[in-house]
Amino acid sequence: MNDCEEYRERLADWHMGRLDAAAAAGLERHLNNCADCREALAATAFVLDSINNLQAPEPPANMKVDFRAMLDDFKAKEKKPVFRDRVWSWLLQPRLPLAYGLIILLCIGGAYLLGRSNKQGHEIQELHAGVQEQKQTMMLAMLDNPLASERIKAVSYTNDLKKVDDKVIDALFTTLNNDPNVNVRLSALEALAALGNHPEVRTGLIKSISTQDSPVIQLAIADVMLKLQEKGSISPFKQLLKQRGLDENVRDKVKQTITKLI
Amino acid sequence: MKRYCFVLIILLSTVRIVAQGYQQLVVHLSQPGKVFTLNVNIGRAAINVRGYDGKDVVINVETDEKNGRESMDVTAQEKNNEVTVAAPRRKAVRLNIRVPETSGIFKLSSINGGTIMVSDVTGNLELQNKSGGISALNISGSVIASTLSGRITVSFKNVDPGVPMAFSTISGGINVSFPADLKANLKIRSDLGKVYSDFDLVGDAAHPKAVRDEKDGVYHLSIDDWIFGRVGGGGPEMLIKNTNGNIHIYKTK
Repeated sequence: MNDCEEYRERLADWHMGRLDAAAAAGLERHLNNCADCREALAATAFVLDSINNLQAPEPPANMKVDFRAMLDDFKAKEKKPVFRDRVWSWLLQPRLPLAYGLIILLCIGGAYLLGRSNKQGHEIQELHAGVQEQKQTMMLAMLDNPLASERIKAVSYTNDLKKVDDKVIDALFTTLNNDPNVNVRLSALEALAALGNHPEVRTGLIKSISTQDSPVIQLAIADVMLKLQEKGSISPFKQLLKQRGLDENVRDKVKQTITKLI
Repeated sequence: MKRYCFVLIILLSTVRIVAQGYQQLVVHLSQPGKVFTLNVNIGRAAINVRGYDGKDVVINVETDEKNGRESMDVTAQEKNNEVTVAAPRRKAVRLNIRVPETSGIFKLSSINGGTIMVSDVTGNLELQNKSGGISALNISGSVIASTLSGRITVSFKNVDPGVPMAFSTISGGINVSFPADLKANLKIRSDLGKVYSDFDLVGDAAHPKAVRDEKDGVYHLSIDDWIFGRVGGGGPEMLIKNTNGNIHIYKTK
């Protein structure tokens, strides 16, 4: 029965006509007597025939180029040029249509999957951008809400925005300079103070010093300017000190702030 | 000097009683039971709003005018459940307003007429004063209050979850009582006063941690800045700021 194993190893070669005459004759004799091996041959033949009959899908025109580009990239990355010639001669063996078929299939599948995951990544990115945009739109709309608590909520949304653009900054300044509620203006000021790295925010805040009439905001702006170490605020603060009827608390605070900034 | 003042006060109050004008306005809401709005924006008004078990908005007006008839100048308009109370400029009035206990929006503002007081109401309160305190007691909902000189005292029965609030004054303490299950991010600053809190204020990495003095429970920071503290895991922002006077955050008992 040991023979059977040996014979079975040759079944594929025999089926494909690659055995020399003597080996083929020996195998054929054995096959005549061994039912198990005949069955094995049938199975092998079936598999081999199916593979041979497998039609390699026609690759798209740019497939070769893409594939080569991909391969070149890969090679450049791997930096193993020593094996290049051997790899190519091996790849170009005429008896590997199946392997090619498989590679092509894998490439198509891979390309498809790659494309899809790229698309998904893109979609997620787009979705994310959409959420941000939506949040911004919602924030801008909510700043006009008749309820002060809703407007404060809108102001607090700026903390959640990844990127604060000019539209948002403009809206915050509109709120800081015009909102009828002192506390909404105060929260807008605090939100803007957190954006002190934008130069236009600093200029806007400096400009705002002269337009604010509420002592609460005047005091808070002095704190913000000190925190941002904004020397540009000194001259408008000096102007403010000249104002008649200025709140005494504000006067003290502004004087202190000017001294600390100089 | 003190005695002199006392006599003066007695004299003045006598005059007041004589000169007082009185008027009552009853406003029917067009959609009783639904959310209503009360707008009062009068420069010299002491405003007292109280919830009661009724459907109408009842406004009692008192004035100091010598001629009682002039008190009739105070008007109240109702449109789509929104009541707006108005008075001629420069006229000092005291308003006692009773409102339904159902949910409402209260926008009350004055400049120097006295205190703005609200109690036993449900809804969204916006209270602005300049010379005069603000008190809002036994409130279910949210409050945004600001004044320049005067105390702010607010106590909540219930807090609207997710709604930010703000309390600011310059000269005057701020006392706020929140329910024990409050979820909020407190942002507190007192320039010259101290900050006390019944709630543990949990800091985070982005902000300097407030240090609590074990002896008297005062929160203080070594640098001049805001105290940030999460309560109950965090929630909407509650901004509390003054210049003179202490700040107390209590748990509603």
